[in-house]
Amino acid sequence: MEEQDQELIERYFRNALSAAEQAELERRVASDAGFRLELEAQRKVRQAVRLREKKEVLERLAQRGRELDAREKQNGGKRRWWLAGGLILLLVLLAWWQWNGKPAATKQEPPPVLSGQDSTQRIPPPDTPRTTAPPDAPAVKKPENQLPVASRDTRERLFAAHFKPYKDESLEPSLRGDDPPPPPEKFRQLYWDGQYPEALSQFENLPAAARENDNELFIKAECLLATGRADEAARIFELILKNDRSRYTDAAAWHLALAYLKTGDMGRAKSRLQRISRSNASPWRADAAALLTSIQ
Amino acid sequence: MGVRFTLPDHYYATTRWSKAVYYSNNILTFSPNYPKLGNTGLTDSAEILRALSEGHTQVLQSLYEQHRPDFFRWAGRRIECGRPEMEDAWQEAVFAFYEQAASRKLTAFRYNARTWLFAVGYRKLLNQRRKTKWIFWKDEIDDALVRDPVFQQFPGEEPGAEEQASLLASMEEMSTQCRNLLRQRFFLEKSIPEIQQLYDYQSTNALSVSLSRCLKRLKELFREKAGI
Repeated sequence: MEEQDQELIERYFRNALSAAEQAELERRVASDAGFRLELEAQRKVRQAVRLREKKEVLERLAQRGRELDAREKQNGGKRRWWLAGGLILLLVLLAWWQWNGKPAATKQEPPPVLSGQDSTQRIPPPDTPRTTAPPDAPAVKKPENQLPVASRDTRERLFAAHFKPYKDESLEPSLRGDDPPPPPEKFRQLYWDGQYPEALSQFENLPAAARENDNELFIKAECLLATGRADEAARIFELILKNDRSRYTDAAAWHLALAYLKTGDMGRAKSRLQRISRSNASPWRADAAALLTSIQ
Repeated sequence: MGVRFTLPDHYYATTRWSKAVYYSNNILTFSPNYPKLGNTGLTDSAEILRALSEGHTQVLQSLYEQHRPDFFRWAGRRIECGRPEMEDAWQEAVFAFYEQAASRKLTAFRYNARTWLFAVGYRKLLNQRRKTKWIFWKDEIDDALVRDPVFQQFPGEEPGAEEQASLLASMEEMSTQCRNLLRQRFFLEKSIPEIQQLYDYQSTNALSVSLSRCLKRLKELFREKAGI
């Protein structure tokens, strides 16, 4: 094959032929078998070189494509996990709001059924009765430190499990024949018998000095707590503890914690229970610790 | 900040390319003064075309990565086809771009690279499927396909699968040196003096002799594979 023919073929593949050269090429293809074979061989060479280059490039691109897909899948998987996590968190928050976030019902729940004849408590030391200011202390704050763990039902259940109106020998009324008992005696009798609403009514009949006595106030607070009026009971217990003149201060502290629990003031309840559980003198130390664990 | 391509070591011998870029730690970086492979920067980049014409296929990889997700979304809205088909079409488009640049048929961009690649990939998908979704809007790719006859040549004719296998098998039997020479001469369309400079041949005659031997051997292999 002459060099001139090679150049013609090469220019043909580069689309660089003039009209005259194109005519010459077509003439040679039609008349010269050797030229035709060389043209075909050159075509195959170019196809072979191109195919090999294409194969290499496409293999490399395909490999890169697989890497990109894998990375995208991984990122997509992570995104899905984040979305799922966010959704779960949202559901948990909604559930928590459902249980604890709703405003408390204004209607008081009926008081739990309480047994009234249990007197296994420790006998407190002798009291020092004296008149005190009426229980017009600052109102118990609305629940502001509610802990998310204590739902209303849980609080009620814990309260019912731990609250028993305080009774000991000092509170047991003495029998005095057929004469009607004086108001203080009747008040204690009603309390002892578990007739808490009646006892509360009777409290109003007590002499003014008796109504300001911390021990009598303690019994009134117990009646209030037993009838579900925890807010009012808490105010009296706080006063008793502040005055620190009653023989029932330990019991008042314990029942104040329970009153906080019942009203949903979990922050104060927890704080009060911690103090009781750390106090060696309190007969309710173990109960407070147990309740604290239940709350937490 | 430039766009970075990792190049094999032997590319670092190419002196002309090194004027357009600077190298460090096997990373080829477009200098800040050169157009970048951004959404628009590449479109006017003669340097990109020159890199491809010299066989720097790593540039292709960046093109492939940069527009691939967009092409999949775009094509997926237009043609009912699976991801593997779109992947094939996209690879073919990228290779066609390379081939056009390598053979110096594509020396300047009338469209940006994205439009060019999308048009070619889209034609490939149309050729395979011929089933399109309803298209409620036209974009620059539709315009390019309608107006420019250059896109009618894609996809080009390919030899049959059997012939392809035979041609590839023949190439695989060639020496690495021959394959490189043939690639430079017949794919990258380099002149004899250019190849002589690239591979440090003592003379153009020496290179021509080597090239002739390689061609002769390849033709022999063609005949062997064809059983002639």
